[in-house]
Amino acid sequence: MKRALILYSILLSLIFIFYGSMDLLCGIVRWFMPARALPDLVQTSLSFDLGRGRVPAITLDPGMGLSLLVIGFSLLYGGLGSLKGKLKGGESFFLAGSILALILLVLQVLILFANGVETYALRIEDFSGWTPLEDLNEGLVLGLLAIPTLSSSAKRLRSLRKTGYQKD
Amino acid sequence: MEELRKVLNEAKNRLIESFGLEPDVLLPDIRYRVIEEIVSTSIIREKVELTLTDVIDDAILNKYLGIPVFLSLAWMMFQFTFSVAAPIVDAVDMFFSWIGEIIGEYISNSFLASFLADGIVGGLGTILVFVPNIFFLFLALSALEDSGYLARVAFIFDRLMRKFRLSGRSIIPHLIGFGCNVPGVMATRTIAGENERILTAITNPLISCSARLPVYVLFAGVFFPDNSPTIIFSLYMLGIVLAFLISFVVGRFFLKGKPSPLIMELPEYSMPETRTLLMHMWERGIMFVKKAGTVILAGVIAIWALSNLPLGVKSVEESYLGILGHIMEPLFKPFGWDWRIAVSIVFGFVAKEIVVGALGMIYGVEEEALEHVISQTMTPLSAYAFMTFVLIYVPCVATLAAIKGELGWKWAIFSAIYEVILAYLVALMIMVIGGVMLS
Repeated sequence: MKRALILYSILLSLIFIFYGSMDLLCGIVRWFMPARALPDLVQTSLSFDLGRGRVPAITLDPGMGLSLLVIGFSLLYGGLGSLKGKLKGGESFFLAGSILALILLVLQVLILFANGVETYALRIEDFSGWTPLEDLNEGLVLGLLAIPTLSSSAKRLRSLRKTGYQKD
Repeated sequence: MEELRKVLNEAKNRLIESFGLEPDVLLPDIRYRVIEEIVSTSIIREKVELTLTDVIDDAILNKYLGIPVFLSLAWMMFQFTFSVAAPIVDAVDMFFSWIGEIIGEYISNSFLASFLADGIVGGLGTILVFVPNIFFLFLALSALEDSGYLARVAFIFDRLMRKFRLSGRSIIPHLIGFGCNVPGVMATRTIAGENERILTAITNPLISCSARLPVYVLFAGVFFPDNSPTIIFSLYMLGIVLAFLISFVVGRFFLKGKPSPLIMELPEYSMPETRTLLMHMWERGIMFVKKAGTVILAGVIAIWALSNLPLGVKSVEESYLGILGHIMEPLFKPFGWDWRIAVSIVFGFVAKEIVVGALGMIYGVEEEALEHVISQTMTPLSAYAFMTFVLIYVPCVATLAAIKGELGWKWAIFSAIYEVILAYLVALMIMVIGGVMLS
């Protein structure tokens, strides 16, 4: 694997871990403290104002937080191991993290599509005023940022499936 | 017989002393060693190979990452079940609302109109609205199964489950229980140890089957709109935690002995095929629809009859159903449930899906209006306590019959009793602890 890509993945993994920790901690706190102050503070600190909405839309969902943390730590551990040229305890974690990131990305795209159907095709009242920007959440944005990692992992997966790993 | 057992025990102890392993583990271990010897002498390889499965398993079966990966995938599965299926659920709901309007418009006989609109559309329709969620859940479970991941869950959980007097093998009936507890209980036949088999069977009803999903989707959607999938995920996890705890308690005090070791061959990872996935989803999901047309329909008609008898009653409150509800109401007062909510759980004994249908009929509204009505009568905390109660309390008749078939009357009655008591205590704890934390 290219060194630049590994370094990029390590940097990305830290962002995954940061957003994951925020989602998990603030999400749990929010269950017991219904006040808006905390979510609002996190929203404004962790997302960018694009005029018509903020991106990424922070979900503050503990489940999302857990998933981001799992992906982040897999990529981080895998990236550090890959720098040392390890397959087991290195590239294997990188591959597992990439697969999970891909599943999360596909899921978020499906949810975006489902909400689009609710709004524009079924015209459900709860979705009035919904814009696709609302679903550009941390899972989807970080998933998109992980595309270079995903494509490198996909190539590696294909080669491993064909020949397996050959070790001297 | 006694002598034979003595000889066997002596032989077993000698094997443990010599090899340091239980015979159950030792035998396959020796078998695999022989296989490896034969393979290494008959096949000459230039290089040592690691397959794709070996590489992925290094991370997925890691002792620190294994369980978090499972929890993360489970959360994604519920996101898929709830959020992606939402447009189809709404479309089905719109269809039933339209049918209800047509009945009101074209049928002049008030008794027949009430039977069709309140009984069939209000009761059965309210349940059928959630069929897409159930199909999506089965699709996600099939994808995990066909990819080869689900088999690994047994391995991942083995270490943890042994602490709770179960073995990793117990996770398979529990995973089947996510679909339906009846085959889940029957699947315990594959567990070799008698104690683990009993513990797995009696705790299987605590695993949330698809019949509970309509209740969760309705209440989580109304009271926790921003976090519905996570709330549903928390209920599934609560069921698993309680199953482990009950196993530990019953195993510790009533069924002493060590769990047998887990030996299983893990399949290679593979990309699930769309056609096979759809086929699995259809086969499992259609069972729910068939059940809706038989047991649930009968239950819904019975509730409609109870809510309209004795003849001439002006409101549900005056009917037999209302009388029963008012008798039960004081028992559930600490949870903040009125007589309508209290009486709806009685019918869950027939099939848990009926709880939603019963609510629709008691309030005399369809799904969308039902959401509005229940949001006025409960708080988020009492709604969570209600979902927890539905998760835990007495398994449906079919599950009880399966437990009786596998383990006999004694354990079937034990299951029914401990689950009602546990449901009440857990719901009460949620109200007390939640009340303190929120205040």
